[in-house]
Amino acid sequence: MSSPPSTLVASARREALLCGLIFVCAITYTISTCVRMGYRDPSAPLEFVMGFPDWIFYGVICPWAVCTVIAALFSFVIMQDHDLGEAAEVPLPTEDAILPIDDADGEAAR
Amino acid sequence: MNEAVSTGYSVIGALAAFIAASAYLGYLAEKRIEKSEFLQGYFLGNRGLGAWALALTATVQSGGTFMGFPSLVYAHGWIVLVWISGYMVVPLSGFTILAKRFAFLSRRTGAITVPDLFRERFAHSGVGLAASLMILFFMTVMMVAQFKAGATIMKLAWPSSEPMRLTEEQADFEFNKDALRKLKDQKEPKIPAEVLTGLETALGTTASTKRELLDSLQKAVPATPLKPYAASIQSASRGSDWKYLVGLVVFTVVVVGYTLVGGFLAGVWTDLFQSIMMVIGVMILLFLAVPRAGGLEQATRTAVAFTGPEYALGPGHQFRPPGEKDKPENVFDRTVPVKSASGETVDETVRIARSERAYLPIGMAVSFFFVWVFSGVGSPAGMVRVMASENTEVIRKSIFMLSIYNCLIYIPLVCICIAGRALIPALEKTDEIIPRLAVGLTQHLPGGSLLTGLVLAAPFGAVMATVSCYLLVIASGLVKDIYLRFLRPRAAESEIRYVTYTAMIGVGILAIVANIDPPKFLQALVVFSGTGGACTFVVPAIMACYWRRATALGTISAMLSGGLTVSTLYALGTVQRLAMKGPPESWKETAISILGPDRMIGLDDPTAPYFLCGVDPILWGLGVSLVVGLVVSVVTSPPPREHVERMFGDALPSTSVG
Repeated sequence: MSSPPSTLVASARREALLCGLIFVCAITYTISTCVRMGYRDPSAPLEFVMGFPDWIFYGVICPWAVCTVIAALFSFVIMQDHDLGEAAEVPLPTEDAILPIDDADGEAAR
Repeated sequence: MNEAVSTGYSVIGALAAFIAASAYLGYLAEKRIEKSEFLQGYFLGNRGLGAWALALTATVQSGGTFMGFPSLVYAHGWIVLVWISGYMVVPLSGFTILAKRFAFLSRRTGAITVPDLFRERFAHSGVGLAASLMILFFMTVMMVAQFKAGATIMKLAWPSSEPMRLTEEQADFEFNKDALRKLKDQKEPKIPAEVLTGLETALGTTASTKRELLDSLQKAVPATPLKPYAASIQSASRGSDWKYLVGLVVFTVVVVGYTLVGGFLAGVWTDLFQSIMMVIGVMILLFLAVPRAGGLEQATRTAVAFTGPEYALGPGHQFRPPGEKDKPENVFDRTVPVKSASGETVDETVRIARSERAYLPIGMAVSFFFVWVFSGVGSPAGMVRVMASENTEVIRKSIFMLSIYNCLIYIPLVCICIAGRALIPALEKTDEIIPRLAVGLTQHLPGGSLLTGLVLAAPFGAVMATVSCYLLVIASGLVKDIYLRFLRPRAAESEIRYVTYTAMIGVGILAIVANIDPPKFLQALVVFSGTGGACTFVVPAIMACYWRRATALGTISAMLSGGLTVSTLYALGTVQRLAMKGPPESWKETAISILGPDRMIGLDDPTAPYFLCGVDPILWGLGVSLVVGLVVSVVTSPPPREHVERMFGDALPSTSVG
């Protein structure tokens, strides 16, 4: 059995997964909205919202604003602080020929 | 607004101020690190990077932000905001996916460089060596290109009546006033007066080859046969590059000088300084350009009237003055009523050509969302800065700061260039848009030339900061990962210091030599090395941070396969283009039958990669790297549990180990 991950590893992994989810949402929404509203027949009249073409406003400006708000939430609410520890004086020794360990132990490292 | 750009001494003055400020920052940085342990202080700033420095320097702009990007917006329109839209998640991805773990692992292992970290994380010198070699390869290519960009800016900033362009793509031949003067002064063979008079009308002609230069000049002066004087004209047009060479030497001496003195902190502080200057410049231009164009909506409507409705829609097409290759059905005359500087409304007519190439179809739009996010995450230069952050609070705050900063740079720059298209509708050289706007909009303001200098000097600062950062990463790789690892593991601090300085000076000299006659398609190499770097390091870094079962062999395989995939697709792109040129041959037919014809997507770039299934190589590189990394890790022996626990557990390592 491997030991449970450190609190730093656990929170970093959680935050990375959340970030991955935000990335997926952002790319899905942005590209689908832009393609649906902006990749179209050029003969149709242009609509504007706050000076931007409507598809740019809804497809890029709005999600960009939402991502900025989420970034603020990440910075000040979601992300946890951790002690990074003291820097080791010198790099730990490197052993090229690390002996393979038995499968049971190896399994524990998964 | 269409007048020629004459920047006088304002830009060269601003560059001098930037250089002086950088030298002072180098001096301050040296004072800060002189009492610390050399390697950690010099290459990592004693792990004391604050939030402002980390936010504004880890993933943000290079010279390209002010150089190539505005030109793209001017030429293609609003679609470029979709192209860059991945930046909305760059602050989050740049500081959450790897930052905490990298900062932690670098402390736990005592790693100072990225290869150090990989080597210690997997307890395998092969991983470190692979990372070193890949970093040296990709970053050297990138850095050499930046030297060219810095030297080019210095050349362009030189006071003259020639138009100023913010471009890294300088023509190899330029027929300008200097070239004409040389021809006039030439005794043998004497150029006839009627030839010289004819050539005066062709001043400013640029070309990348001798033949192209002669063809262009001959078209401009059809009545005068130029072939008998071809050698003289070509020689004169090439020989006027002393400004570039002086710029190259001055740029190298300055950047190597202050980086050598102040190390990592000098690079970071200069980067921070230029980032602030850049946002000030963008804000000034935004508040001058958009109101002058009648507001953002009116600017778009005017730009669309000058170009076509596709200028405000996807997938985007390039709109530029027509060339010989344009089909007649793609060339339009546009007449639009515009307000002159005096307030009168006058009709303005421009001739515009619309490219058939689709700039950003869906596959490319998806690809570029990945490009910006993962090239930031996987950049070794960015990784080093994260390793140097003071604590997790700094990382946390950096996310918010960078988010705000990106909002203040990218969206305003797009608005400025859309307004630029309305104000100056038919620029021949689209990369002149920012200098022309800067000069045109500020010349009547009090202190206008100062503002112009500030706006135009910002990219110079960005290039300096980028070079400084790369220089340190390369020098640290040479010293820490090669010299100390393989040649002199027990070198004293004074020797390490000496070798570091020698390495940096050596890299500077190499950059000068490589740029005296710079490779023609350097910009393409920059894109290639950025994409290659991302595909080499993103997956291995994520494996190192979060996957206990990841093995050294799996990591090496992921690195090599990602880089190799990108390299292969770029090579295939070259083969595809060669196969489509010239008379048909059997190998060309075979190549086209396998690769297919040009998909007519993306930029019309002679060095574009092969877009397999219509997407950029970054997606294939990341995918292959991921699959190979996973499979090889699973089929190789698992890493020792004790070592993995040390990397993932809470307990601090014993300092007595080893």
